[in-house]
Amino acid sequence: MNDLSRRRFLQGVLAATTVPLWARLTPAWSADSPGRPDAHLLVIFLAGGNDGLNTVVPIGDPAYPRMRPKTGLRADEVLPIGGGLALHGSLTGLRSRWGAGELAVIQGVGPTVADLSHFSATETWETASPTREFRTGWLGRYLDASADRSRGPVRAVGIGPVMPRMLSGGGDPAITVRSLSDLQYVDHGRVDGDARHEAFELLAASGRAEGPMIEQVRAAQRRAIEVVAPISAANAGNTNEPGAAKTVAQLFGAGLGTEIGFVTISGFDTHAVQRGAHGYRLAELDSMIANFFAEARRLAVDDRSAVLVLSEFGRRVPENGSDGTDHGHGGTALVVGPPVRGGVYGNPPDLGALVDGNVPVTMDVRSLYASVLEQHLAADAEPILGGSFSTLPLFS
Amino acid sequence: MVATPRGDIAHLFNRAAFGARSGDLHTYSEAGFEAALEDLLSGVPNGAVVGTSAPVAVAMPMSTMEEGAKQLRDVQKSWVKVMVKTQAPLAERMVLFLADHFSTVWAPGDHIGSEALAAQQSLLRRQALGNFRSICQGLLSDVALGCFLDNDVNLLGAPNENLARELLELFLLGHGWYTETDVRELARAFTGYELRRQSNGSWKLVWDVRRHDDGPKTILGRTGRFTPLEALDVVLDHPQASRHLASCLVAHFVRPDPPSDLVEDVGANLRATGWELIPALRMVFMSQQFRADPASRQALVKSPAEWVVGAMRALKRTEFGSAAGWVQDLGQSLFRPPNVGGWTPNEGWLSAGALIARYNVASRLAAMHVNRPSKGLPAGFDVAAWMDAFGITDLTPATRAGLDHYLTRMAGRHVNTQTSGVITLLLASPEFSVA
Repeated sequence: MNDLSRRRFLQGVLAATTVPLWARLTPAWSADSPGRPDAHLLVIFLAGGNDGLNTVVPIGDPAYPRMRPKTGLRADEVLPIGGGLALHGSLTGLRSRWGAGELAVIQGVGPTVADLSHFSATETWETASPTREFRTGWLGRYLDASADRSRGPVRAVGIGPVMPRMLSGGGDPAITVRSLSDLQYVDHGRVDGDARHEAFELLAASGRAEGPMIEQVRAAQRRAIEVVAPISAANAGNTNEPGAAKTVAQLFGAGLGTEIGFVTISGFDTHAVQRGAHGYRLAELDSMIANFFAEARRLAVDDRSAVLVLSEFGRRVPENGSDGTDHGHGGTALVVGPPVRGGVYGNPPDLGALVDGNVPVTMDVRSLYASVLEQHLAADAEPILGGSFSTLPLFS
Repeated sequence: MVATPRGDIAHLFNRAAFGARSGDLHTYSEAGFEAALEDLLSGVPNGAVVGTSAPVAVAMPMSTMEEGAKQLRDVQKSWVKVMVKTQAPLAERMVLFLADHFSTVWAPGDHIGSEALAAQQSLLRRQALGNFRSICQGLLSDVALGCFLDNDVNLLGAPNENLARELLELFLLGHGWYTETDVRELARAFTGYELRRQSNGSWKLVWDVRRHDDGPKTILGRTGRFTPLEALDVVLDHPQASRHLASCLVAHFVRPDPPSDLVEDVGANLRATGWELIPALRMVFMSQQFRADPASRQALVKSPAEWVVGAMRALKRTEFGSAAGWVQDLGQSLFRPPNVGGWTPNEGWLSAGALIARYNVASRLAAMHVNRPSKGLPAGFDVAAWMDAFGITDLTPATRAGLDHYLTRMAGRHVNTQTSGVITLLLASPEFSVA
């Protein structure tokens, strides 16, 4: 249905009602004012608790091989970055980024109060709210706070089956898809295809995000229907499924106003036989980042794009009896990309001063977030984080 | 006798079954709510998930992945078929609940075949309307869960905390009801299991006292040389344990913010009966909070399995392989929940991609129906008749407006076209997605 016939159909159908539904059905965005944000952020969450110590390895610390006799990495399995540190051998792409001064390593970061539950720790990373004064995600609150800058129908995208909590806020929700082709009707060619899609649109027209569950469903349907056309257009050039990282880069370059992307890699809960599994997962991370930047570069948005790599916690330093590691506390975050000022930030883990076998947290997650919000996304971090936090000079 | 309102029957079947089907609303509106509930509670599961003991781990990594993916597809199809065909829908709803509660993430290509998943299902199905303590006891030596949470490598002298932590946090007590010391001590009590290959090729998780840490442990304030089963009892005897299960049941079957008075009552019931599930479920569904509180009506979003199975049962379809794929398309991987916490219910199912997928599956099912209809379903496109078939008792004005628009535009078209359109729109409506 073209714009004119769509307008006519909606006006015809809705003329009888007193509520100006038409106004609400008109997206604020139109193809005449494509959204080209100044900055893009891809968050990659390593679910399960990434072993920070085997990601950025204190290879020069004699305590390391002593405490990690089986899971520890040998000198020939790592990529040195100087200062007694080395990247896991799977991270060849990130090693190049380090060489280019585009990789920031943040050590000892996490929720300041130790909580070894996946879910509770993850929630703190998502909401940036250790005492749960916020239930929304910190990036969702950023999207709300900058809604007046909104230029485009898809400001944030989550890749996966479930909307990431980090992107949840009060405004128009982020779009969550497993792949862009999810947002296409299968029955376009039918004789009644248009009539069905109009009816489906009407059926969802009055949804509101608050109130009874049936209205929440309707609101979510309406939001989905709204982006079918722009997402289909963004996906039109793909002959194969492009994969999560490339999909996010394509949306960043699609002129839909997409600023934020969120992707999860699972499998970091390495309680047993960690060595092979962890290397495999980190290789996945490395190629995800490389794929993202390759596509972003093709679409000329790489110079404004940064990747933030997070995980709910690091792992116990002394390994367990099953060649793995149990849940720990302080972890390692990474920030990657052309706008990033490379280097090592935060206190390096002191293996002689562990707390219950864990690396203590010496940097509040909110300091990391405040740096990203203020320096990369040009936002006022204080209202979003509910307080003022010291920042790191992560972006140039 | 005054007939039970059809809306009450639809509500019960949405929660304690996979939705009311053609005739259910009429039959049980006459027979009454209690008769309907007793029929559901007395259902005996009639089917089993079939797996294979074929060892997946072979030399070639690629064929391992492919074989694993095939095993996963097969076992998912098998489960969907059991749910669609079941004559004990409440028991099957409980299997789904328990599989989510004791979330076990199978990795295709892992060294255990899908036979282990079938074995876990058989345990859950046997006890779905049975005894919760028996389920927990069985799960301690369950191959799928034991391997997923590393209890097969929880060694004397060097314990692995994975199972102990998740059992306290997720399965039995809840976050905040235990200390890190409890986790470490319970992990010691759970040592001694070993995965052994049987002569028929399948795996068994065997407890060997010689591999067990038999020293004294202090768990939740009690000290003893606890074996795994004794340690399990220590946790189950904690008053929070029955409250935790009650809270999960009420959140799942009544509403996401479980009314605390009902949670207390159901918890007390579980304690009094020694963890019997039928009396607890009867209490849940007979409660005023379930039956009479408007806040409990349409308060949940159907999970993809509930939605697909409900639509398949309503339309009497047998395309189980397609259905298993649709459950996946709607965002739920059976046997592969996202993590040990299980699936994210309600709002978790409302991603943009998943909602367009609901529409698309509705459209495919409608096309299948008009091409090859099953017997005993409405002929033609009468909206009221199809609402009855789908267990929908009322339409909101917006949904009504959508249907009216469609039927007005398509007036005079072939009956199959309109039938297909009406089925698509009703299944895609928010009315059919909520429970």
